[in-house]
Amino acid sequence: MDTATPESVQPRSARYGQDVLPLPARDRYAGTLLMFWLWAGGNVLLTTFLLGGYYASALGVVGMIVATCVGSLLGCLWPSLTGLRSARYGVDEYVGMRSTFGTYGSYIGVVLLVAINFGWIGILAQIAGNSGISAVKEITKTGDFSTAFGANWFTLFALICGIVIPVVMLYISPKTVFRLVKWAVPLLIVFAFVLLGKLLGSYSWARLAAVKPNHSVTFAYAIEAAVAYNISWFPYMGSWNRFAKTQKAAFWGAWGGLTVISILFAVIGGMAALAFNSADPSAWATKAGLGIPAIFIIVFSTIINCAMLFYASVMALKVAIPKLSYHLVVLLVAIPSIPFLYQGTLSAKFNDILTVVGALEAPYWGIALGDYFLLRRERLSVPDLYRRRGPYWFTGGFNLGAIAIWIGGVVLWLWLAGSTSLISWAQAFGSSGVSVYNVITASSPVILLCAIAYYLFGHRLGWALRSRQPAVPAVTAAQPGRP
Amino acid sequence: MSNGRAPHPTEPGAQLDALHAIPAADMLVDPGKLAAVLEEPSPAGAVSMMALLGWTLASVIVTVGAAIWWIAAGY
Repeated sequence: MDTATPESVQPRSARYGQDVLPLPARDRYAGTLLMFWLWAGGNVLLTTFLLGGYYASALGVVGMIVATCVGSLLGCLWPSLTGLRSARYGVDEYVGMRSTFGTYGSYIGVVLLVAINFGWIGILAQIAGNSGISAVKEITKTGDFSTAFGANWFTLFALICGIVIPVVMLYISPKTVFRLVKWAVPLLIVFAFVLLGKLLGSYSWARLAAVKPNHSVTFAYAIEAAVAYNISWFPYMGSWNRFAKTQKAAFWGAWGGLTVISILFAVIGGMAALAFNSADPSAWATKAGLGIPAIFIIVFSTIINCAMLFYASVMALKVAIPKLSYHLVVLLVAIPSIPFLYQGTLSAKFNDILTVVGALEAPYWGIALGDYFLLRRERLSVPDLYRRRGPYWFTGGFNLGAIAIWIGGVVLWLWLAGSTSLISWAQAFGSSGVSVYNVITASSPVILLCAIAYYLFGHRLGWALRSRQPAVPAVTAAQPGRP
Repeated sequence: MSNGRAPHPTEPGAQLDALHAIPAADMLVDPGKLAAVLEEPSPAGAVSMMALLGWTLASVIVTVGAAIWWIAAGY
């Protein structure tokens, strides 16, 4: 065997981080602070402003702040926990996921990731396009301000910020993202405080507190929105956490970075929504004369986020087909996102993404938590993650026990929270679960229940079905360590 | 019959032993390249299970507490 160290794990190499092999601990370079800036950059988004505005009028300013704080704390915890697997073993999310769903079952997550990325990139690039139009309007007062497909300012800004710059960065190296977040994210946090100062300067706390809650949605709905918004990071954690020097750096960097920014931005967005009677950040930013700080936030956040999302997609596809060229996948993965720039409104897309994330991702990664922490006690056989017909092969590459629990989790989530979606059949299905949802919410209970159900029953089912398969070779060298 | 848990190495060098036990034809990546980067996870810099459990419980309790506050405050 040729055991020369591959270029993809050498931090000084241009090919660093471009392959699916584990990154050894000595070759990872992101400490706690860098991981904090990375994940903080992940949540520096206009959609995080939108989150607070989503329920601010229903709860009032105090209720909005409390719901945002607890929802963000809990919502950011779950992905930070699942990200520990990649931090411990240096493997990509979907390599690690093979231990839970099977060698091919982990590709369910790949499909979820790639599909949801199209929607996210569409939202992010659409916001960048709209903000570009606003900036050009301010400067020139004339021009083509259409948001339709074609050669116009919208397309130019959306494509450059959402597609072209992130693709160029990743084409060079994923390390460019770390270089950008190190200086851009602190600056964006300063801009966020400028926004907050301007808001409180124009609209005092007393005026904001005087706005009575209209109870259009419940407190549980607000917490669920904050949780579902933040667990949308589930599919991306492993791709980036494998660069963390230690598990502590990965956990505290991710939980701290995601939570701090989720609370800061959602609270600003909620207060602005109450002050200007509009949850749409582009609307209240213009009304408040917050143009320049807002545009900086939009441009840099779009670039950082699209790069983070694209990299996760690229690595996920490479996990499925390791021989694919990294650079070719970087170029190809961006193209299907382009039609989504022109689809639907921001609010409608936001609701759809929260529904998809909650219904499909919460149970999927809940099972992963149960498998990694409860069942395997954080111990994996790394070589078996990279093989066929091993202990993570289960039934033809799929852990049917995990998949059964996942389907049950999806049904449970839809029963609990389907009524809050914009999908008519889900609304009808979830109508009987509303009263329970208003007490326990949906995503966090589904994560916990799926973790426990998999630990108690799911893995036994998967193993029982596997035992019927002929000729499953044993990995004798690793078996003395069975729990 | 197994208890359903996948094997996991606990002894130093066990990851490499596990790799050597796998037929090359079953590998999804080049076994030589994997051998070059394979290592045992280091306990240094790990977050203990008790700490993770504690933070998880604390976060759930804070969330439940906030919901109780919301109802009790009568907003």
